[in-house]
Amino acid sequence: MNVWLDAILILVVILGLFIVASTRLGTMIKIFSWQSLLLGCVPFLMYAQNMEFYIIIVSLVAIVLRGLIMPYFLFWAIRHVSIRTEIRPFIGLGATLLLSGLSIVSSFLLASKLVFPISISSDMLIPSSFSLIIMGFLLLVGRTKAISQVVGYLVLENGIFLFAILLLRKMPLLVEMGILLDLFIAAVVMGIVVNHISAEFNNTDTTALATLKD
Amino acid sequence: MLIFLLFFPLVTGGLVFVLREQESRNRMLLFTALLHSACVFSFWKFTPAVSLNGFLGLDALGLLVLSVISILFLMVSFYLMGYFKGESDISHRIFITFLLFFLSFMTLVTLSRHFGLLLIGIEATTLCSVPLINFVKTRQSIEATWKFLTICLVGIALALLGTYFLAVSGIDNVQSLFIDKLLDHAKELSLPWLKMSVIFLLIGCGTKMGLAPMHTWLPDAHSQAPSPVSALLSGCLLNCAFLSILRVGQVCHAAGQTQFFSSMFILLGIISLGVAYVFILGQEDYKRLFAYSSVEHMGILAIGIGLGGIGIYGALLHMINNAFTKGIAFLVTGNLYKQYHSKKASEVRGVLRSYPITGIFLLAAFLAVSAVPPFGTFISELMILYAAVAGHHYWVVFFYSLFLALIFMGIADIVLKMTNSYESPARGPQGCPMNATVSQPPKESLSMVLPILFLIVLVLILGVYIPPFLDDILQKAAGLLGGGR
Repeated sequence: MNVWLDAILILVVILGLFIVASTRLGTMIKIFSWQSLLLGCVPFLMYAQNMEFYIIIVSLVAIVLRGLIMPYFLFWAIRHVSIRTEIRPFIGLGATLLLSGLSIVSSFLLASKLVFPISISSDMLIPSSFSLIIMGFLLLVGRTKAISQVVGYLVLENGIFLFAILLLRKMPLLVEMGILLDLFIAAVVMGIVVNHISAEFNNTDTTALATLKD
Repeated sequence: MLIFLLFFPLVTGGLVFVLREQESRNRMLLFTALLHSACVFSFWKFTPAVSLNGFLGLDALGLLVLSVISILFLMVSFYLMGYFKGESDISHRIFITFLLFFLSFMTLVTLSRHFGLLLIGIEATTLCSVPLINFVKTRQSIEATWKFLTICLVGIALALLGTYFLAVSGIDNVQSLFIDKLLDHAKELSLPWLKMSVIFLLIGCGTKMGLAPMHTWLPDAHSQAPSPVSALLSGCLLNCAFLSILRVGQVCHAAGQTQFFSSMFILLGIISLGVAYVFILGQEDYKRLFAYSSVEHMGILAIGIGLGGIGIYGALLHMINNAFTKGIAFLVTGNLYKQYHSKKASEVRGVLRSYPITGIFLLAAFLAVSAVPPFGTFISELMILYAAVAGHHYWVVFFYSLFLALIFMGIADIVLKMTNSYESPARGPQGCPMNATVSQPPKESLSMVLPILFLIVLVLILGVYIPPFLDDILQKAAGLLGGGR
C-alpha cells in the first residue's frame, strides 16, 4: 500500500512541476485537474485499513470540487476572456523550474528537521505538501495573467489540503467541509473579479493593474 | 441567543436581496443594526450561554470586539441613509445584502471558540467585503479589489496552514482545536510545531490586520472603497483580525511562550510605524492618509500587546478608541468627497469656511487620530508608552515616540492645509476653479452629521473617564492574555 501512496505523491509533485513549466492556460488547468483527482485518492490509500464514513465523504467532495467543478469553471473563464497563453511572466520559465527544484530539496530538508508527533504512513507526505505550497507561491508571484495566478492559488491550496489529510481523523467533519466550501467560493469570487478585470481593461494582464501606488 | 445574533443579519440580508424598494431596504438595514446592538448591549448584563456544542461562546475579549463592531456598524448604517441620497442611480441591493452578511460573519469571528470556525469567519468576511470595496466599479476600484482578494486570500491560506500546524502540535494529547481545550492542555503541546504555527498565523492574520510588510492591500482598498465601507474595514475588519491574533496569543501565553510571541509582535509593530510614517509624509490622497494611519495604529496595538502588563490593557483600550476614531475619520472623508468630488488633498481647501461642520469634524478627526489629549487615544497610547518605559524597552520607547511625533507632524501638515488655507488652489482637472464649490449652499444632511458627532463624543468621554463596567471588562480581557493594570 505504501508503495502506491509514495508513487502517487511523487506523481503529484511532478504534475506540480508540469504546471509551473507550462505557459498555456488550458494545459495548466488540465494538469491541475489531474493533480486534484490524484490528491483526492490519497486519503483512500492512507486510511485503507480503518476507513470511516466521513473520510470517504471529504475525499469525494474534494475530488468533485477541485478535480471537476473548479477546472470546468476555470475553462469557462478562459473561454470568456479569450486568453490562451501566458506571454511574458515576471520570472522566466527556466528560473521558475530551477526555483521549484530548489523548493523540493528544501522541503525535504525542512521536513526531516520537523518531527511529526505521531507515526504517519508515508515520509513523502509532508515534503510534497510543502513543495506544492512553494510552487503555488512561485506561480502567484511569477505570472502576470490573472488566471494563472488563480491556478497558483489553487496549487497552494492543494498543498495545504495534502497536509490536512494527515489530520483528517482528528478534526471534526464540520470544519473540514467548511474550509473546502470556503475555498470553492473563494475561487468563484476570484473568477468573477477576473471577468470584471477583462471587461474593464480588455485583457486579464495584472501588470495593467498598476495605477494605485505611492 | 448567540445563534440568533449570528443568523439574524443573514436572514435580513437575504430579505434585502428580494425587497423591491430602496426605502424599505434602508429601513431593514437600520432595523438589523439596531437589533444587533440591542442584543450586544444585553450581553453586558447577562452572559449568554455557550451554544452549538461549544463552537460558539462569548468571553471578555470577544465581547469587547463585538461591542465595538456593533456600535460602529449602527453609526455607519445611520450614515448610509444620508450617503445614499443623491446616488439613487446605482442599485444598492447587492451592497446592503453583503453589508449585512459582513456583519454576520464578523459576529461569527468574535463568537467562535474553535480555531477552524474562526478561520472560516475571517475568510467569509474577506469574501463579503469584495462587493463592498468594488461598489463603484471603476478601473481603480477593480484593481484595489484584485489586490485585496489575492493578498488576503494568500494570507488566509497561510493562516490555515498555521491552524493545521497547531492541530499537529497537539495531535497526541489535545486532539482538538477548541480554544478552551487548547488553553487547558497548552503545556503539553509540541513546541516546534507550536512555534511554526504561531509564525504562520501571525503572518496570515497579520496580513488581514494590515501589519507592515503585509499591509500593501490596505491603502488601496481603503482609498477605493466608499467611505462608510472604509470606516467598517478600518474599525471592524482589522479588529477581527487582531482578535484572531490575540487568540493565538492566549494559547502562547498558556504554553509559556509569551516571550517568543511578543518579540515578533513588537518587531512587526515598529516596522508598521516606520512604514506608515514614510507613506504619510506628503501623501496626496486624504483617504490613503487615513489608511496609512490605520497601519500606524495597528502597529501601536501590536506593540502594546507585545509589551505585556499594562501595555495589554492599553492596547485593548486603544483598539476601542482607534475603531471609533477611524469611524470619525473615514465618515468625514465621505462628507468631503461628497462636497469636493476629489480625493486629492491639494484640491480640498478652506473646509472650515465653506463647510463649517465638516471642517470642525475634520479637525476633530485629525486630533483624535494623532492622539491629542482630550481624546481617548491619548490615554491609551500613553499607557503603552508607560508599559515600554516600565519594562525597560528603551529602543521601543525611542522608536515609538519618534515615529508618533513625526506622523503627527505629517498629518498636521496635510490636514491643516485642507481646513484652513484660503489660498485659491491650482485649477482642478477639468480646468474649473475648485473654489467654485464655495458658492454653493452648504449641504450637510443630518444623518451624515449625527453619527460622526456621536462617535466624537464617545472618544472624548473615553479620554476623560473610563466607566467602571468597561474597566472591569478590560481588566478581564487583559487578564486572559496575562496583562492588566
